[in-house]
Amino acid sequence: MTYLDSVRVAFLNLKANMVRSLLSMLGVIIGTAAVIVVISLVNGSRESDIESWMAGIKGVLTIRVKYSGGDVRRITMDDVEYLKKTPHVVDVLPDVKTMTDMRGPLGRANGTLGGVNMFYVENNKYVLVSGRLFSAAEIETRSSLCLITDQFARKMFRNQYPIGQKIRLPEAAVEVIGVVRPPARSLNPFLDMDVMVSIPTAMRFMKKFPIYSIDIHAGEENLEKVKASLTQLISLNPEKSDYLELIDPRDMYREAFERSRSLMIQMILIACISLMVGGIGLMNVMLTSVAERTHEIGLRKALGASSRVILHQFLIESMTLSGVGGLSGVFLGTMVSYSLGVLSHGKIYVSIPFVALVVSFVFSSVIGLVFGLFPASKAAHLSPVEALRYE
Amino acid sequence: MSAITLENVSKSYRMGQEDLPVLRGINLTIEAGEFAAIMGPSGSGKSTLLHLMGALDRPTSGRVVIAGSDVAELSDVDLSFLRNRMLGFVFQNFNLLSYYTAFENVCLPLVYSGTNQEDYEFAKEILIHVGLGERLRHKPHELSGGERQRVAMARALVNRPHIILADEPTGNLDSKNGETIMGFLQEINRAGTTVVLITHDSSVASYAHRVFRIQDGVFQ
Ligand SMILES: Nc1ncnc2c1ncn2[C@@H]1O[C@H](COP(=O)(O)OP(=O)(O)O)[C@@H](O)[C@H]1O
Ligand SMILES: [Mg+2]
Repeated sequence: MTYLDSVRVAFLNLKANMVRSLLSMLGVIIGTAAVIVVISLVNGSRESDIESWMAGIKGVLTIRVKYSGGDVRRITMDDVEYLKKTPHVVDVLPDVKTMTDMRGPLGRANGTLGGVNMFYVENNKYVLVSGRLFSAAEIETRSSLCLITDQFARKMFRNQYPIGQKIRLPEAAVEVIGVVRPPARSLNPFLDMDVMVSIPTAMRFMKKFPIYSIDIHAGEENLEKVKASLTQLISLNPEKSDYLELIDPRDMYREAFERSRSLMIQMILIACISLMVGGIGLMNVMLTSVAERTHEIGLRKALGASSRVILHQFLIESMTLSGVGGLSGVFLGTMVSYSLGVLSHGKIYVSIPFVALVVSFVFSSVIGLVFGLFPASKAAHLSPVEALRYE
Repeated sequence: MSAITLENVSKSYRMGQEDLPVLRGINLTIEAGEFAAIMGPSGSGKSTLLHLMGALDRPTSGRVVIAGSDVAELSDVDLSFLRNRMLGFVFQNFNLLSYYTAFENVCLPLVYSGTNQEDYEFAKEILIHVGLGERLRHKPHELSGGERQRVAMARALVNRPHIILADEPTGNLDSKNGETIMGFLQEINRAGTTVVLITHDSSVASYAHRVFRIQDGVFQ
């Protein structure tokens, strides 16, 4: 009996028991799809991708107020000025950011306003869509000028030309000088700012807001030096070390990535287990199929099929089922992965390596082989006469 | 040379604690080219005997020799080769596979013997010969009982067997269709093939050269 004929018999039987075949495949389909989705997520957080995510926090250190419950101290303007003067520090960016009500010519909208400096705009690779960026003087002073993101420009001004427009805030108004597009993906927590002004401008609006965190822009080459001197600065000053801590945000995120990656590797295991469960469902259906076709097996043996040929026929059948299921699962998983990527506007980064598709397909076929073995050997060892007498 | 030899063959089935003897010490020799009939009431062990002669089952004791080979000494692969090349079965209930066409059912033994184009041509020829040239693509449920048994006959013949074993082939047919089938069996036998037929119809048994009567597991 040729393999082609076995595959044909397999498809004939699949067709004859359409609903049952579909149900038996469902477990394999879902299992394979789950494996693909999880792999695509894991792959999306590979080391090289972590690097690109972290581009915006390159050469940045953070000093933040330790959370200790109760009475929390804050970072003072003196601290800010002092840090700015630390050797090798290019600039500092206090976290002055607030959600506020804003009014434009077409109405009002809520948005996040924050202070930025030159280092920040350059380091995060914002793309200038229209208008211009701040000049060095404008970003150092209370300039009442702002950059807005393209997304916010659409929300606030729809199809009006945003450059030169005024945005009214509760305290004062700022003028739009440029529209920027934030990088596709980044971990920088500042990136959710809709309206960016100079730090002195932001401070004016937010006098009453406390500063709990400040980014130190050191640049990559001097990062270690600055890190060392700031560590010393804080640890030598018991009063400061009481409530301040120095953080390398890259360490923090890398740690978070490692955690989420090991979590996802566990998820791959779980997905594989669900594929196994699919295999058990398949085995159940194959056992039913063998029982239903006992008479057919007897006949095939009477006509010259050896036990080995019968074994192969049923193995090919279960592998066809799991293979078709696996192929559908690969397709479904790919769709789900890309949908996740699209629906999250690129925030969930998915990437499916081709080899994962092949491996998932092969793995699901192997599931068919493994879980088909028991039913197939049951079929193969039927006595021809018992099977023929079976009605 | 004898086609089939049974020496002191017994067969019993184990039912719970007891052994149920079905065949008790059968001695039988079917000569090559012979047309033999086995008659007996229902439950007398006719089918059991035919299954032993067809290497579908092994005796509890005694020796079964088919075309010169002792069945007890054959491996699973040898047995399937024997059934595929030496023997052709015709059953009372036709035993066609419902999802295959008439032509595909006839070709089923070829699937297990490794085939060439000539074999498929031969399969078609036999179907035309039994009057089903127009029914090649019909599924069994699209055929009458007589037509189904003719498909089964064609299937039994497709590998040019030495021995045809027919278990009440006319049992489910009216007398006219039964006569057609018997006519084919007679024709095959005249062409040199050994035929062993089971029946409880004496008019059917009259086609045979020799008739064995079995009752309670022994020949009378
Ligand atoms: N697998 C089996 N287990 C137990 N008894 C069986 C089995 N197969 C056949 N028999 C018994 O053997 C006897 C002969 O059966 P069978 O050869 O089919 O008779 P016949 O074909 O002459 O009608 C019957 O009584 C039947 O019940
Ligand atoms: Mg019988």
